[in-house]
Amino acid sequence: MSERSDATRQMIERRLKEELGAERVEILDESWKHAGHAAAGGGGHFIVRVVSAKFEGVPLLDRNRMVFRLFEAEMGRDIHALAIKALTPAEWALP
Amino acid sequence: MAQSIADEVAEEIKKNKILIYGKGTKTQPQCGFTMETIQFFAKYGQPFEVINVLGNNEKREYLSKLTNWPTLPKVFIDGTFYGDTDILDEMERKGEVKPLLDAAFNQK
Repeated sequence: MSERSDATRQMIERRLKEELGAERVEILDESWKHAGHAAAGGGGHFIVRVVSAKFEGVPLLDRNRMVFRLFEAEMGRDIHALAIKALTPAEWALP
Repeated sequence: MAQSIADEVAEEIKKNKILIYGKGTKTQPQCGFTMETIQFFAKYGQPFEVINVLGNNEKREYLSKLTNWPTLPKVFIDGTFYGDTDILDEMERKGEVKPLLDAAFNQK
């Protein structure tokens, strides 16, 4: 894992907590899978699982849009791809 | 006059019950997420189309604005935008995908 993608990971986590009041954030950095993948332009591939009460009553498409919006400036740069699983606390508690 | 991108996209969405805008082609996907999406639909056995927009920035930007969704792939089913496998996997878990596809293909 590069220092750069580590910094990006921390940035993602911090912003989800600050902006969405996320009570839980898990980030999987899959950038290594795409090393040398030219189209990635050096940006990272991240899988994010985020739990926030702000997702309650919000359709899935819009939840993911809420997350994408936070990283508008980084998409296509430090973040090449972002897979998002956005859950409410109640959904998180499901088996 | 050349066909506008908006017209082109509208026609593609209309013509294909399951449409994936992605990176690469069905036989040669050039991105893991596009490949996952192809595998997702392959198991349902219904025809689907993959349109490669890698290298067509104008179309990519248009599609991102149209859907308010910044990443590829972008999936349309029967004219409606469904995001990507982050959304579809969840719908599948709830048993919502098969009825949706059945409805899409049963109508003329």
